[in-house]
Amino acid sequence: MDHREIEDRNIPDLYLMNKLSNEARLQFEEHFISCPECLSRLEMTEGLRTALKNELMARPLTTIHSTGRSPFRTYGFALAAAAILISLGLLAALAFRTWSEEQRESAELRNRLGVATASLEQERNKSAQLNAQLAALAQQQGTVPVFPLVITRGGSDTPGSTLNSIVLPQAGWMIFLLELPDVPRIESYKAVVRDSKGILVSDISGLKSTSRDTLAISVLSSLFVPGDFVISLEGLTSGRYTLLGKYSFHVLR
Amino acid sequence: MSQEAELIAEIQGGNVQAEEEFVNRYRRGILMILRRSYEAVGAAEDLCQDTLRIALDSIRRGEIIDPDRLSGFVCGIARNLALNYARRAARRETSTDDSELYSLSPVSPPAQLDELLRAEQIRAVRRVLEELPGDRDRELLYRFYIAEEDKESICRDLDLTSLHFNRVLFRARERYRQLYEKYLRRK
Repeated sequence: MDHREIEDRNIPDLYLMNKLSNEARLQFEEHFISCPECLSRLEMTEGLRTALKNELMARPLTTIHSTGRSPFRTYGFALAAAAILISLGLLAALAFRTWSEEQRESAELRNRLGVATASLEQERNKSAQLNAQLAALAQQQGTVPVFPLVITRGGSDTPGSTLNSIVLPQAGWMIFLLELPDVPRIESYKAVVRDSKGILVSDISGLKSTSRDTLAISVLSSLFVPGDFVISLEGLTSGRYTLLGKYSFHVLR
Repeated sequence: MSQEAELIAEIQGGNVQAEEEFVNRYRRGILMILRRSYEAVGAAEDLCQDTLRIALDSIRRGEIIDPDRLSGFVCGIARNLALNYARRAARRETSTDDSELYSLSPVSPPAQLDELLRAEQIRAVRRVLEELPGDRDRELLYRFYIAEEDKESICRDLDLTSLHFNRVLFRARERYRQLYEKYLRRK
């Protein structure tokens, strides 16, 4: 293995992405273990890739701070939304129980229910705006828009309840950066994208992640129309796929 | 006599400087291999020390028959240690012994220095992205390094030659290295 071949075939990049065959990987390791030139190349590539990923993950915060909004993040919004939903449920139950006995109190509760609903709607709008800004920022900094998606928790992957909203780019590729759950020893991943009617949009298997916490998948934007979608992420372990998480998102034009 | 054969002979002769040279030559590479192992990444420093110790003991005892296979021998030790560590970790994960479970939880918050370095990495890479001459080069970086698409399909889509592709990667890496090293020197 000589340096010309190593550079021409991008072997250090493929090594870091776990894309070399087993034989090529062993051969390259035996070369670079005592080769300062290749080690520097590997370390620099590793640094650049990590920095690119960190930069992408840092974008939502930058967007929020630059617009002077209160610093709530996606998780913060998820908690707030969950709290509001629970409040709504409690208020509704209470209102039903006291309906016949305390009309005045019931009216007040209905009023509070309305306020809470409006608040939830407001939070949703804020989230959509933030994601729109994020998408706009992504488009400014690179031709390929990158959308970080968080796992939809609490079984709220029904259409309309999504926390992830994305603005569809006009054409070309876009990248979804999926938050990975902490499940060790996944050999490869499979991502299945379906629309709100359950119709298959895309099915990508054999995905490998070189990061512990994110998995990037690239898809053609032309596959999507405005509406709700869900990505089901499955992990391959011991020859079997198991569901790792669902990522629901709303596509805006 | 090859460099490896000379180094082995010096170590077997009790030359401490030769042992230091051996450590300096192999340490970075061993760490790189160990960091690629998902399970062993947290113990990479310890496993690296173990690899060096085992390799030096074997050399001193004259167990290296073919000096040209020294690198392969060191690689083999590192890989085996990583594999054994992963197996032990897997056994501990299914154990009901609380003390073992606690010993597995790496939940220390990121150190302040790590956060500063991360912030600098982000600043440096933003500058690299800004300085790229066109959107096409930025797209190339994202699709290759983030989405991990194949070089051939990116070259086909963007109408690039393999040479241009490699040149963009080289320039981005070099610029990132310059900016980041400049920051580390300042600190």
